[in-house]
Amino acid sequence: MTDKNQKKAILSKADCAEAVLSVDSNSRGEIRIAAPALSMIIRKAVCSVEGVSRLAGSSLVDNIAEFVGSNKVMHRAIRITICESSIEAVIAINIRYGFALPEIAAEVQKNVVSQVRELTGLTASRVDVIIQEMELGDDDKE
Amino acid sequence: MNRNEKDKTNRSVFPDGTSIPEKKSENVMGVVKVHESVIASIIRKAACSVDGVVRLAGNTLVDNIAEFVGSKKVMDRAISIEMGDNSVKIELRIILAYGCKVPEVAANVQSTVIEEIARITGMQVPRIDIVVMDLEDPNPEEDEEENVQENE
Repeated sequence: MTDKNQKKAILSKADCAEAVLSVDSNSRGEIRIAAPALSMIIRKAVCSVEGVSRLAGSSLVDNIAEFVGSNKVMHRAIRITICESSIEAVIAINIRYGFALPEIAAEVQKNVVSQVRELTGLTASRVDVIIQEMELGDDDKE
Repeated sequence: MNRNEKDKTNRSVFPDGTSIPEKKSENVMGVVKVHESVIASIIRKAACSVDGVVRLAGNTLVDNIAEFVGSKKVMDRAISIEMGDNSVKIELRIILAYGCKVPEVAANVQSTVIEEIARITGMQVPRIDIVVMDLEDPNPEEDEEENVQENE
């Protein structure tokens, strides 16, 4: 139960861009990573999966925002919880028609865990995938 | 000759006029002071020379304009310095390139900064914390462009 309380406290910290997580600690000092950097890693891991169209979100606004380089877009689709010794992520995605949902989701989870591990050394102990929309193709009007 | 040197070291000029921590070393001839921003410059140069470091953190648009017109204040946000007598504690906020291993590059930054500070100023760095604020992608992926086109 104290675990849940701890997690709750951390979740609200993770919402704000200031949240940082310690990646490593050596004799010289501490190495920390901020949420936007983690978001980027997760986003790349997710979008590289075949069948994933993109992260979920309001399309027009978000795409313009992404285009001009704003990082806030990712935060709506990716929610990171920083736990004591690991991170948890909830990711909302849009998928393309024609791919098997369970497979895409499993691939996303696998990719996120491995990319986070490889690029930061952190453990992603939980990856929840929300399949928000299915995009049908060219005639899909947003 | 001795007198001239003494005069020089007593006359420290600080553009902002505030009292700022500085390294002070005394020898027979007088006092040598090193302004904090000098240390910051060394840190900045050392950090940016590491492979994988894109730049120091800061609010992009404003900072880029500020950097462009040569204002030094940009560095201050990314670099926090606590100066002791012959040591300096550092907190450095940086932006790395996506694709590199964060712990590795950050550790490189730590070593490089420690070495450069020691080499140029002779000061020790008992602690240097690195905060990776963000990652920047040198190669924007196709899916981003696709998304833009879909809505045109």
